Amino acid sequence: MRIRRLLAIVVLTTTLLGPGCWDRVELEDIAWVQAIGFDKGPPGFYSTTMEIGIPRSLRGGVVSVGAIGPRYTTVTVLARSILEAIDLTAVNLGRRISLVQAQLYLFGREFAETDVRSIVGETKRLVEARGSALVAMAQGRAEDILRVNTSPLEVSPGRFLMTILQQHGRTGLFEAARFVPDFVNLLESSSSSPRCPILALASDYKPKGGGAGQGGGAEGDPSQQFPSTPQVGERVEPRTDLSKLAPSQSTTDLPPEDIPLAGGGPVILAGTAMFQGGRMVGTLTGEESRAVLVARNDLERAAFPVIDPTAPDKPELALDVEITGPRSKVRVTRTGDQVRIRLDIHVTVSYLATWTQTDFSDPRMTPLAESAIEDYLKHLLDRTIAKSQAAGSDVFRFGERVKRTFLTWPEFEEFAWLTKYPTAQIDTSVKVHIELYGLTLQPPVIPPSEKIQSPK
Amino acid sequence: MRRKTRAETPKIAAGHIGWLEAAAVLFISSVSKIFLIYPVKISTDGQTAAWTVPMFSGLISVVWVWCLVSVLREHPGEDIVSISRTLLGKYAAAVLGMAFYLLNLGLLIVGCRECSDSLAITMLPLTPTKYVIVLGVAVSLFVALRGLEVLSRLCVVGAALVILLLLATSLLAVDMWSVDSILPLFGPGAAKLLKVFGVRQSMYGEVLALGILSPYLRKSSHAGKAARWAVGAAMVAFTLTLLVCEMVFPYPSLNRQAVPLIRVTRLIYLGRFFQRFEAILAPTWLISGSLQTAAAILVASLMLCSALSIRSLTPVLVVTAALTATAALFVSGITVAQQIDFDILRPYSVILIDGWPIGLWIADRVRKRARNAKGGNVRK
Repeated sequence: MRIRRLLAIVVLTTTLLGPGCWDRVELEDIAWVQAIGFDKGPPGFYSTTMEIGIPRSLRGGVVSVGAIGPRYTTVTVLARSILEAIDLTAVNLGRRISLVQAQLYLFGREFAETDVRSIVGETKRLVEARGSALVAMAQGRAEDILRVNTSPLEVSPGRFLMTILQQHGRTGLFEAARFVPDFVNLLESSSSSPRCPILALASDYKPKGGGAGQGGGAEGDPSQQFPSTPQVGERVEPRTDLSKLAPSQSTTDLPPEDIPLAGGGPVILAGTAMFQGGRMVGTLTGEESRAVLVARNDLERAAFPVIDPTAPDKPELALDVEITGPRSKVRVTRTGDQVRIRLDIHVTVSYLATWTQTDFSDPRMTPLAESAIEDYLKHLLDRTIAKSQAAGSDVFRFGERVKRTFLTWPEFEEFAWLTKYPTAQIDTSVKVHIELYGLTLQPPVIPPSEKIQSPK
Repeated sequence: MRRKTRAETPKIAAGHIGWLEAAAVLFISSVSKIFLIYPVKISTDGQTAAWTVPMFSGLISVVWVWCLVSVLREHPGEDIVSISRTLLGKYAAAVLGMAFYLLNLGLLIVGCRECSDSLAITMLPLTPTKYVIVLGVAVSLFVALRGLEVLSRLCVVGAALVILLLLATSLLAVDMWSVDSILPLFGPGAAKLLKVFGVRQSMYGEVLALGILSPYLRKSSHAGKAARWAVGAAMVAFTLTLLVCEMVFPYPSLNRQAVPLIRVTRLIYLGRFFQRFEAILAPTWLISGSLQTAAAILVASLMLCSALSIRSLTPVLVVTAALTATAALFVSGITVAQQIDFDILRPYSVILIDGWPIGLWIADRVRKRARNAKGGNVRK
C-alpha cells in the first residue's frame, strides 16, 4: 500500500510538472503572427512577410480609432524555407514567433504562378498552422497587401477577411477558401482544382508621405486614419475605360484592382484565382465567381443588372435583378473517354426593378423578363465554364460528379479527369422564375408626354 | 417507500465486474487507436470505401466472437487459457497464452511509441518522447495495480467520453463533409475490399481479452452481452471516425495525415472565442490512451499468469510495464512503430484472433460429440 501511495505521488507530480518544464510558454514572450504572405524572392529564396500584432493595440478586442498607434508591424525576410523565415523574423523582434493565431495565408501572384505546393506542403506540416486559416492570392505582391491597413473597421487582415468572407454567400463576388479543406485537399485531388479569392489594393489607394501604411495605420499620418473618407470634390476615377465594357457587363466584371470606388478600406476582395495543381493558371472576375457559386449551390443571393428586353440597346436602362437560393443539378454521362455534363440551374428572382415603362409584373410580360435573365445567366455560366476549361482548372468541381460514374478508385485515377476536363462537353440550361418584385410592382410612372431620360 | 441505506444498495462483489464494465474495457481497448494513425491505415487499404471496412470486418469478427462466447458459456468460471488446457492440452494452452501475451506486449510497445510521438507532434513538441513514454506507462501501471474493478469503472467513464467526443466532432465537422469523398463506392475494387475486410478484423482483436475477463464477471452468462455491446459500439465508433476523416480529408489527402482525428478537431471553428476544440479532444485522448495501456498491461499479465500458472499478479504487471517502457524506447521512431503495428503485428494477429476461439469451439463440439457417442463418459 505504501509503495502504491508513493507511486501515486510520483506519478501525479511528474505528470503535472514534467511537461511544463519543457513546453512552458509565456504569453508575454510570444509575437503573434496574424497573417503570412509568400512572394517570389531571388532564385532559390522565398520572400516571407509576417504581419505581427502589437499586443498593446490589440488588447480587449476594442480599438479606439485614431487614439492608438500602429496595430501591427510587418517583417519581410528572404529565406529558403518557412522554418528558417520564422527564425529570421524573430531575430530583431525580441519575441518568439507563433503561428497559432495566423488567420491568413497570402500568396503573391508571381509566386502563385510558379507553384505554391512547396510552401503549402511545408506549412501544413507545422503544428502551429491552423487548417481553418484562410487562403487568398494577392494581385501583385503579398508583402504590399500586408503592409497597408487592410480595413478601416478591423484590427487585422485576418479579421477583415473573416468578416468579409462571411458575406460571400450574400454577394457571390468571391469565395471563402480555408487552408486545408478548400486548398490543400484540392491541391492533392484528382477530381477538382483548388481556388481562392483574390486580394488587391483598391483603385483609389495612393501611398502618401513616407510610404504610408507601414505598421498598420501609423499615428500622425492623417491619410491613414480610418475611416478614410474622400475629400470633398474628389471623384471616382476609373482606371479602365468603362465604355469598353460590353453592354451586358458591369463593374463587377473588372479585376479587383480596377473596380472604381473612393473611400473605405484600401484592400479589395473580389474574384477567384484558379489553380491547376499548385500553379495559378487564371483568374475569374467577381461576376464570374458568382457563376461558380451558382453552379455549386453555394450562393445565397446576388444582384445582377440585366439588359431590359424592351430596350436592348440601352444598358443604362437595365433591369435590377436580385436572385435568391439558386439550385443546380449536375448530370454526368460518360462514354469511354468522352464526358458530357449537363448543368441545370433553377433561379428564383426575389426583386426586380425596371426603369422602362414595361410592367413585368403583368403575367403576360413576366416570361419576357424571365427569358432575358435566363439568357444573361446562361451566357455568364457558359463564359465562365469556357474560361475554366481553357485554364484546365475544374473549379466547378464537376469531377466530384464524374467520380460517381466509376465503381473503383483506380479506374477513376486512371481516367485522369483533370486532363479530360478541358475537352468535356458541358451544356447548361437556366430556368428563371420571377416570384417577388419588391415593395412596388409597377415601374415608376412617367407621363407619356415625357421622354425617359437615362438615369445613369 | 423506505429509502435504501448505503449498506443495502447492491454492489459489485469485490474483485468482480458487471457486463457494462467488461464491455467498456473491451471498447476502450479496441477504440483508442482511432486517435492515432489507424484511420489512415484503413484508408490506405480501403481507399474511398474505407468507411465500410469497420462494418464488414466487424460482421466477420462476429463469427469468432460468437465462438469465444459460446465456449466461455460452456465453461463458466474458467478463462480462455484454462479452457484451452481442458480442450487442447496444457502445452497448447501455454503456447497460445504466451502468443497472446507476446502479441499484446508487441502492440503495447509500438502503441506507446506511436502515442508518445503523436503527442510530441501535436501538443508537446519540446518534451522528450522518452519522458512521455516512461510517464505514460507509469500512469497506466498505477491504474493496472489498482485492479480490474477500478480499471473497468474508469473505462466506463472513458468510453462515455470517447463516444461523446466522437459525436460532437462528427456534428461540428458537418459543414466540411462531402459525400462525394466516399465515392467511388467500391474503393480499390470488390475483391481487394473483401481481403481488407478479412485482414482488418484485427481492429476488434482486443475483444479476445473477454476470454481472460470472463471469470471476473459477476454472471458468467453476461459474457455474450458484454461482447455484443463492445463490438457493436466499437463498430459504430470506427465507422463514424472513418466517415468523418474521409469526408473532411478526401482520399488521397487522408493518407498523408499523421493524426487525422486530431486534425479534424483542429479544423472545427465554433466562433471567434472558441476555436480550440482540440482542447476537449486532448484530455479524452490521454485518458483513453492511458486506460487502454493499463487494460492491455493487466490483460496480458493475467494471460501470462494463467498460461504459466503464476500465482502472484503484481510482479508480472511490473515486469510487463517495465518491458513495455524499455522496448518502446528502443523503437527508432513513429514510422517504424507504425510499420510493425499495422504491417506485421495486426495483420498476422488475425491467425490467433480467429484461430484460437474457433479452434476451441470446434474442439468443444468434437469433445461433446465424442462424449455423446460414448454415453457422456469422457475423461476430463
